[in-house]
Amino acid sequence: MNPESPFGYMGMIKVVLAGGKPEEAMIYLEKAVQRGVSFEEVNIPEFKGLPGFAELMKKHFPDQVKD
Amino acid sequence: MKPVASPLPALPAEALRASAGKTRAVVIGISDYQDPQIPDLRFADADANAFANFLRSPAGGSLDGDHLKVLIDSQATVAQFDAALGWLMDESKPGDQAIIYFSGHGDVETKTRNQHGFLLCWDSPPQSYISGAYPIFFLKDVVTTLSTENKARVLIITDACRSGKLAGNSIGGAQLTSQNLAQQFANEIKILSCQPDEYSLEGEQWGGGRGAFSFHLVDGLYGLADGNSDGSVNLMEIGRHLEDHVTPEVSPQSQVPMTVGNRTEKMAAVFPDILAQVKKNKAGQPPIFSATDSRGIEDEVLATVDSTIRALYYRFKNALKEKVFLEPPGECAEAYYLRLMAEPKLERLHNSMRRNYAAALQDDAQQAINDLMAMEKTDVNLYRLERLKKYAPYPRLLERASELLGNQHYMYPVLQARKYYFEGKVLQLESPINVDSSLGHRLLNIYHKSLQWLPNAAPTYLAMSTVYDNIIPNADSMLFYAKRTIEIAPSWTRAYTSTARRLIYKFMKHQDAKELIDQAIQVDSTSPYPWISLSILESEANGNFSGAEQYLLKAIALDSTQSTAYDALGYLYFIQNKTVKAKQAFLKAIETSKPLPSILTFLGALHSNAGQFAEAEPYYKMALEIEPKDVNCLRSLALVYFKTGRVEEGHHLIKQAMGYDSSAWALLMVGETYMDAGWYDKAIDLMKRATVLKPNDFFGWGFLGQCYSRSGRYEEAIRTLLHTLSLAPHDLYTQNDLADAYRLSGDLDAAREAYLRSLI
Repeated sequence: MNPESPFGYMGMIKVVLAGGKPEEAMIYLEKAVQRGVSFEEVNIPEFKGLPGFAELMKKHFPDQVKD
Repeated sequence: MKPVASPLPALPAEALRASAGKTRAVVIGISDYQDPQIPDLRFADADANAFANFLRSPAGGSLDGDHLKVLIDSQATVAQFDAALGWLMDESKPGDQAIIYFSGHGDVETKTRNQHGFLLCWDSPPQSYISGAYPIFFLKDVVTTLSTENKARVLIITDACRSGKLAGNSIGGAQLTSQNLAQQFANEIKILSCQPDEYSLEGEQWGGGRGAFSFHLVDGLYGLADGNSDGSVNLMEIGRHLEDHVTPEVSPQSQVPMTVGNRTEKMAAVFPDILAQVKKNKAGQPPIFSATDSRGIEDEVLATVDSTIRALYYRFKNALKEKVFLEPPGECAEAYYLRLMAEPKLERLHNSMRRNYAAALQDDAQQAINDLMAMEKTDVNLYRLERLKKYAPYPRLLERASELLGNQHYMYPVLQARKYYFEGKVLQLESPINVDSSLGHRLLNIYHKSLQWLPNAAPTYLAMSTVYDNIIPNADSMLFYAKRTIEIAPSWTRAYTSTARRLIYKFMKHQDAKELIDQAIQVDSTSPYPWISLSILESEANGNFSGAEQYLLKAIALDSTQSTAYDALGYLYFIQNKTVKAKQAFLKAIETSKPLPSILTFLGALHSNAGQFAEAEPYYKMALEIEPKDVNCLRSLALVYFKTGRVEEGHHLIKQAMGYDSSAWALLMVGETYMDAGWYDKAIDLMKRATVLKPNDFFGWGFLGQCYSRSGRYEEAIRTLLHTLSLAPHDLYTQNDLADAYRLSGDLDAAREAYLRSLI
């Protein structure tokens, strides 16, 4: 495993969210998305309330995000 | 006219041979005669083109258009032939060399008392050669003039005793012509394709379609005939080379090329680069044996037998064509052959019958090996049961072919080697599951027998390598035999890429895999397969999915007709949960070629994972129609049944799967199904049994750890996953599962540390 893998970042999101750090979670979420995590995996209720989530989704999944 | 590609590299200017006298050549090759009554030949044009290419090379004197006249098929009218010989006489000066090469029909005139021999040009009339074929006595005049008046060195090469029904057949016209040609006219040098009482044989086995004589003549002149390695080929050496190769390869028919003239005369200079290229082109190629054409003799002999025998002979030929070899009893090639061999009037045909029967018996096996070596889709993409059905008769057919040719024939060791090779392949295909080491040792024994007959058989070494993949798993042995394969056949990219995949999936030897893939790209960067392997490496070893995707897109750009890249792309999207893209790629894969059971199973899984069980079921059922014993598919369909309340049907499938396969792998697959169904105790029981069967296989421990985690038994999960990591420290999925287990157990610090560790 190396920094190119999205798996570790996805796990980190859950860890930092459990620790109550949504801003840090967004950093990891962006890294995971940059490494190929799918729209379906990201577009889940757990993440939807994160600050900046909508912008991130629009940036990386413009075709799938409805205005 | 079929063009013949020169096998040679570009010619360096400094390599051009300096010569005191000038060389000029007239090269004639006629396969396609104007008058349909003169039977067309198959490869005379290709032979002439190949010889012309030799003359254009440094070894042949680097002749340019001003010194070489090549007349092929319709260009080779009698007038053009005569004009070309006139040009030779006009231009040749003392010390020059004049070469005349003729490949086509020769025959005698039957209407006149002297029965003169003729070379038949493209527009020669079939009934009266004197009014339009080229007489040998004219050729004799030309040669005598060139030798004695022009004082040029003259070399004549003729391949004019080809078979085919001609006007002079009844009196052996081709042979009489050959006899005329064999006479010494002046002090010229002659190379003839066969003795006067023989026919010159041609077939696919020589350069994909050439005359045996021409094929070995050209290779010999490029340097393969340079027996004493003195950098040149003389008449004696080329004569010996032709006898050593042509005569055994046409056996049991007879063709002994002949040479006439001063045996120490230098025929060609050897250029090491060119010779190395010729040798390289031959390296790793499997020996070939094919039927030969003997139409002329056939017509003559069949004219002397009654209609019953003739009909039987044609039934025999048809049985060979239809591949009805050893059964049904009494109505197969074998039965017809035995009856025809007992007929004394067919004696002149017996050798060609024996050869052609043997050739037909081994033809499919040879084609299968050729396809494998050429990475053709035909065999590689056959379903297991289809391949099994195809290969199963080969050992018996190859044994019969060996008997027919006898143990002195040059193909005998090859046929024996292939018999054992296919015996092993059939055994491997019959036993895709429940494999154990005793089967592995049996297979290795069979493949060793194959190698005893043919020590440098690349496919056999690769087959041995596969035994060490999943039957007696051993990375070092697997790699050893794969590397031996590559030494023998360095341009066979399949050997690199298939080995690399085994190293990645089975043994996690990523560095070794990378080296092989890099080598494969060097061998052929235009092949999609190395890029597919590189993608798998990026994904499996590095978790670099975007990089992996780029490599697969490159593979598809290189060859969009191969399903393998789409299949791999589908899998790449599948493991990332990109379900829409995964489905598109898998559908493209089955649209590109026939649907493989594994792809159909993935399509089923995509729907099953999304809870679309009704959509999943047909894919699984289609896969099971193709491969009824596919454990992965059986257990996947079972999960669909479990999830939709058809528990009995599910259990029935599981029972079926376990009946087919009780290996550790099968236990894990079924265990995973129970885990996905939420029956953790059953799953854990099976997974534990798998780890007992294969205690050093990280795969089983990884599944067990994941199952503990899913069932909420986090302590056992963490302990088990740590043990898994001790067996496979760099496994991407285990690292992640361990971090997940920490997180789910509430140990967020350990989870964070584990996730971060995985990112270093």
